[in-house]
Amino acid sequence: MVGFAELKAADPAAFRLTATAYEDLAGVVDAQLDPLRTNGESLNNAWSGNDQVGGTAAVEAVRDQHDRATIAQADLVGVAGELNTLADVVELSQQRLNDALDRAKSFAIVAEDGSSIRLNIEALQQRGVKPSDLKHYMTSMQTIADDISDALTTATEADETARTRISLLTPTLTSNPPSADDVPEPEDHWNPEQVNEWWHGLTPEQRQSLLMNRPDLIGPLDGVPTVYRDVANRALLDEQLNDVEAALADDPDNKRLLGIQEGLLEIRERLESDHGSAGYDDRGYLLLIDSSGDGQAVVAVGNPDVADNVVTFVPGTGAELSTASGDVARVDRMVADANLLDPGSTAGIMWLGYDAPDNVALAADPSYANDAEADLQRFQWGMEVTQGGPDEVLNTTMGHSYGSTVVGHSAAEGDGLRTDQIVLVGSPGVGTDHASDLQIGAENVYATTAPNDLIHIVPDASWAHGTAPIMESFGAEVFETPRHDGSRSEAHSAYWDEGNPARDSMALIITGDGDEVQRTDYHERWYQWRPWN
Amino acid sequence: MENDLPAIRRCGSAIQDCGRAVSDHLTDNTDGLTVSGNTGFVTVGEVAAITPDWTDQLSGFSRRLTSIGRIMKVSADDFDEGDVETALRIQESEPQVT
Repeated sequence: MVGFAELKAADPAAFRLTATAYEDLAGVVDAQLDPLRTNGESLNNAWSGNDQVGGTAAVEAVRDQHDRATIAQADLVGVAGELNTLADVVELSQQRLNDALDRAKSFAIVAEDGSSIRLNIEALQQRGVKPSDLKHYMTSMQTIADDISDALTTATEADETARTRISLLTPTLTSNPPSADDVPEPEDHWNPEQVNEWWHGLTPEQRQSLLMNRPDLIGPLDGVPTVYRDVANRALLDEQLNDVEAALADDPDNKRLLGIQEGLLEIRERLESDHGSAGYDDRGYLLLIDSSGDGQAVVAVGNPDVADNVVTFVPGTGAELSTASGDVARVDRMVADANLLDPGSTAGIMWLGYDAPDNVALAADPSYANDAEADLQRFQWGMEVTQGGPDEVLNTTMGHSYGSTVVGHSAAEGDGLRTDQIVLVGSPGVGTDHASDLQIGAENVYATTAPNDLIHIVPDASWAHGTAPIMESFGAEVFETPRHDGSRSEAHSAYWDEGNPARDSMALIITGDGDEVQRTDYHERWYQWRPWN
Repeated sequence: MENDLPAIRRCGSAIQDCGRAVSDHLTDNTDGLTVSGNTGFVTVGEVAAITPDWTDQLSGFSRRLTSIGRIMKVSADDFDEGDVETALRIQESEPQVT
């Protein structure tokens, strides 16, 4: 139990300092992963003549050390995360304790060890307080005693949680992990909260076994912390790349496979790109990778589990694995913009966890959005869980084009989307006619469309996607994007271009200053009073 | 098909460098891995308990990489000693399983 004197004397900065030391160590290990992987591959190619047994042993040894190190760096980040979380709670609890003591000063005496509180009758008499008013002071005293008790309880619980979780983050660099068959797996029907509880109950060796032997299970599993999903998904990316390249060897002109290969290579390049010099966490984390069909990928920029603000971006028509890196680049820009306003605060996620319509003709079909609802809802629920709860992070879900229709459907259906804000960019409609239907309060729904965005031609019809979110009747907070200098189809994609003022508005919204964004009113579609030119 | 000996040596050096990077960091940075002050918080004790595990195992990881890298370079140099030698060297350099 954290006592009164201990909480008063606590030094949250010391926890943060140690967290930084563990983060630095994680960074050093992380920096060795790509050289180990690439040198393992080069060795495999170079050692192809005599001494095959030795060559195979060398390559396997390097790969094994690489796999163990990927888990180690995730565990080290985990230790840092637990310490930072504890520091935050201790700081808040200490503040609450000190506030209570300040309130007590004028009329009560708190024991040195905090074990009791009594009225300071002398002080009250000097102030001329009447006996009939004492009841009011007794009530205040009880409130102060409750606040002190709550502060101690909160600090104690946070301390216990951190201790328990850190005790399970011992290194597994030299351990012998159990077979995957011996490790309990989550039930199919478990929600992200249950998955998260299961994950934190695993021993380090069980966790290692799953990451090494069952990346297919862990990679897409909502409720598992980001750093571990990233470990699993990077292994899956390598496997899928090998499979695609093997398939291309037999069918070298297969356009679908060539596109998948390009997409996987570009994502890997982003994951491996130098990070740490941007002044904020811009490391890539892979939360989903799937090469089937048109392919799906979810890539985070910065760790969304520990950021203050997170923007989740859902791309639209035509989005597929072969073009995913372009959408990741949009998230990179939004994260950079947000961190300029509020340094070190913001992470972003590119969520292509659905099958997007291939072309504009198919984009009138709401079935793609219907099919995506459950996946996006579950993903956001998982994020909320790994972030520590609904109040820890300012979450913004942004949909572009048909991606906005996906966001709208997900927010309006069932229990909705676990997000604090929604931004609808270049939207053809979101399947409902009023922002309040998105179940987060209309004041938290933002929309923008450039005047010459091609998307204006999608009519406000029930057979399409309903009222465009920029229309006054939809009730969203509409902000301006200026007319684009290029074509109408270019305008539809230019929101994240260099110099577009829409980015400034997005950054304000993402960092919690949406009130500062200038609003604009649309009474009718732009094309209804301006001729096309 | 012949082995690419210069490539094997380069890979060996690169892997040794990976090992050295970790050990160099540990040399100057282990003090910060425990929490100062904060008496009464059980997390402080827990971090103190896991830190030696981490520094020991990361040191072992570093030594293993430098060892594998050295073996690769030696194998490239002594290539005509045959198959089994390299594999045995690597096996013998493995750390004890805990």
